[in-house]
Amino acid sequence: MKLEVSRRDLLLAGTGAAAGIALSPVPWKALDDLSIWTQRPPTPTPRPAGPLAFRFTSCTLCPAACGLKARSFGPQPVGFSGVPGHPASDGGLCPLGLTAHHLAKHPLRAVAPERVSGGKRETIDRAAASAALSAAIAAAAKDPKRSLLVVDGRPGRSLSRTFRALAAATNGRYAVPGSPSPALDTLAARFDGPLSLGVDLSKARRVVSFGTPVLTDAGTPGLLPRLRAEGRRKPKGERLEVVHVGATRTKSAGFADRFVPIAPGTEAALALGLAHVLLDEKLADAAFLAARTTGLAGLEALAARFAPPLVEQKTGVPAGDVVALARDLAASRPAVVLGGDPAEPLSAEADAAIAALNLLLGAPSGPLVARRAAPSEPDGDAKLAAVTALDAVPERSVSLLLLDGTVPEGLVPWARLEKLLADGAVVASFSAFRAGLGEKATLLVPGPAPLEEAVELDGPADAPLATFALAPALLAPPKELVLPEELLREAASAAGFELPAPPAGRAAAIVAAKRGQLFDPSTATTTPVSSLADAAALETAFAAGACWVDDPAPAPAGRFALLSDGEAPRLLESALGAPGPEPARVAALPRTALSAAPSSPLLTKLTRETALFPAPSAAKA
Amino acid sequence: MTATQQTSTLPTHRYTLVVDLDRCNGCGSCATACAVENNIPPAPERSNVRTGVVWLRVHDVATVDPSGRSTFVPIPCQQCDEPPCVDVCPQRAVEYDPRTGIVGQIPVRCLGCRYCMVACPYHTRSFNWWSPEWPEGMKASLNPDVSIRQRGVVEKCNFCVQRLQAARAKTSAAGKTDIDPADYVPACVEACPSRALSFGDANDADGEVAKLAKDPESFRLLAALGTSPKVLYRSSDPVVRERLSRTGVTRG
Repeated sequence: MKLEVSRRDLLLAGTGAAAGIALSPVPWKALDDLSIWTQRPPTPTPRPAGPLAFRFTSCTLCPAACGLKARSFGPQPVGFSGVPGHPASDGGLCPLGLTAHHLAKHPLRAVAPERVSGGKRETIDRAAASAALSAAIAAAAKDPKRSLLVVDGRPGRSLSRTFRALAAATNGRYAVPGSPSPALDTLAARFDGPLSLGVDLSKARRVVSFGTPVLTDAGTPGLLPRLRAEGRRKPKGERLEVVHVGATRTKSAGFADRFVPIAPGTEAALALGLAHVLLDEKLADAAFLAARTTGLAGLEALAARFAPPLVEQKTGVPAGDVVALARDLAASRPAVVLGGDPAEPLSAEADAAIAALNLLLGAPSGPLVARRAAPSEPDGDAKLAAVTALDAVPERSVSLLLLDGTVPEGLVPWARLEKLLADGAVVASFSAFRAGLGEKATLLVPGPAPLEEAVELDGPADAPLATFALAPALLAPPKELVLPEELLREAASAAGFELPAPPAGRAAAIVAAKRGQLFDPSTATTTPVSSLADAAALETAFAAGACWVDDPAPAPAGRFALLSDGEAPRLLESALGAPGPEPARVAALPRTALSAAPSSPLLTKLTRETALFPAPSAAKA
Repeated sequence: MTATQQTSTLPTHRYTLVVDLDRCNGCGSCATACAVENNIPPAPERSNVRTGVVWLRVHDVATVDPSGRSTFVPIPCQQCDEPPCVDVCPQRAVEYDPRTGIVGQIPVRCLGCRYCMVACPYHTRSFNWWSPEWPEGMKASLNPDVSIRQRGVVEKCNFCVQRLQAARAKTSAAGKTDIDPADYVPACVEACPSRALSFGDANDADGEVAKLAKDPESFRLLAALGTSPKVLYRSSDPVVRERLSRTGVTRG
């Protein structure tokens, strides 16, 4: 056979070869190499000046107060990890803490004072900021109808005392956001003496949460999932399980062993329905009730009204499920019922019903433990304003609102504060950011960003043991930054009010109390405070990132009232008047941030680019 | 040498990650620590789940369990022993290290053809659509041990190989030959607050990871594909095990 190559064959082969080459990476690589000038050349990562070192402090972004181990070059941290064995966090750290070193350079960071004038934001100098603040203080002090209001997100610090002294001197008010654990506070208030309660989750076999995101966003990062997983090989009756009760299927609800969807606002009715079954079937902790409580007859009369069929009608939870849940709780003691979320609190009646349920289960002798507050310096002769609840402040009564930089908008929405303001009121914020409540200020006097100042840090109020750290600064604040306390004293003095000098500090009070242990994060060891020579030794340890942890407190003798005076009718009205069932909303919602600082831009990106909401909610940009 | 040839003999070390799905609560600490450690830049606001650069994604797969209970599945590069991405790369920008079993990505060799992204059945690779940029001053907080990747290249998890290099340097300086396992821990493992992630050398028969790998509750994603990932998952729920090992997780 004669092989003939025609011109057509040559054209076909040439076209095929050209198409084949075009579909291969070769021409595109050549093009890429030729057009390299359109791309940025590889950039070496800048190496901060200074030797590599590991430094320790505590995270100040939310009340969990986790231990931080910073990998630093000179003064610049480049990454964080948790501190294993840390009394507040035991190595846990959430996404906010992991990106805390980005915040000092956040695009919304403010360094110089700013004033909003005629709707426009303008930068002013220190003298002008001091004069504006001084004038507002003087005006608020003179006005008999309107007053100064300070809102402090983290009471107990040296700056808090200055705020309280200023409020006292000007006949103003000093308020703090709501309690982080109202249901526990309600229970503690039932005791016939002063009592503070913490939750020891390691002692629980059942945790029932009425809306609290216990498995994802609440408390020590990762603690409850870890405890639950460690017990998974135990027999079903002995392992720790979590039941989530709520109107929305949050991340925590989806991860719980059981999710009980209920009609919104009917938590009290369900809690009383569970109490009904416990009492009716004699499943309550009889020994605890006899020895440690009063008012059983009153609670029995109230709970008798909440038979499971009625509870089903009110809450939408099938009567059989109510009975089964109550029996499961009784059979799985020690059990504890937690309620609410600082950002989305339950009603006072629901808190009261949950408190009664905890008493029926004997929780105060199990997962709930008595705890003491960390020692603090006495007030002495200083005249300090009393702490008031924000809800007690009359509307339109505030002419000067002083917002500390630690107040999170997620906990104190601006709409709630705006109602308190009189016409022409000055809103001064000490936030480091033009974000959250800082954005609403008419006078922004920026304070140090997280990690830029040493912070007196009390651990979470519901931890079984109190902790305290004087979290050392890791970064130097900008030179032009004015410290809020300094400016506040200066402005108050110019207005004619001399504020008392700050006290000696918490270290002296802790050493004097001779209580607790000192945790050294570099060695993960503890030392009794009683073995320290003096307060200076404790301050030196705090400067290296140490954390104080209290000794277990003895259980106080006394009894809990199952219901407080006149509470039964209120509970009855609230629970029976609750709305009827509606289709339970089953949705996953992002949590509101409890941090007053905005999220790192990196966290904002991760939130946007992953299908998941990162923990204590970074959704705020 | 192809990946198959490279894996014909067992690597000296076989670094393996085991994820306990019973413990993972989807907090995102692992993904955040990964992004901080590896200098992943904040992206423009128009970036999304498909165009963003994320080396480790945590998926909430509520539909896996018939009861509707959520299972959170962190998915980094699966570090396959038979990695499809290696064979398709025309630039040899993806390399399997026979000494460690780690599949590395070399951004300066990458031409951005994204064949590897197509070949990866786990969707764990990301393409840099934008030049890396940080807010003013924030570059000072970057990790100096990791270079910044440019626009137009693919990147992925490499088990924080810079930490392995640092551990080797430390071992060598101490005059030893074997690195201390505590010296080489990827950022995600270090950050996990619920201790859901375990990491180590699966060739170390006495190590925790080797034991976990043999546990009947352990499984691999898309096991039928035969890519032999060195990221293993554990769950006490047989439904979760069966479904994830069969179907994996879809991105986006």
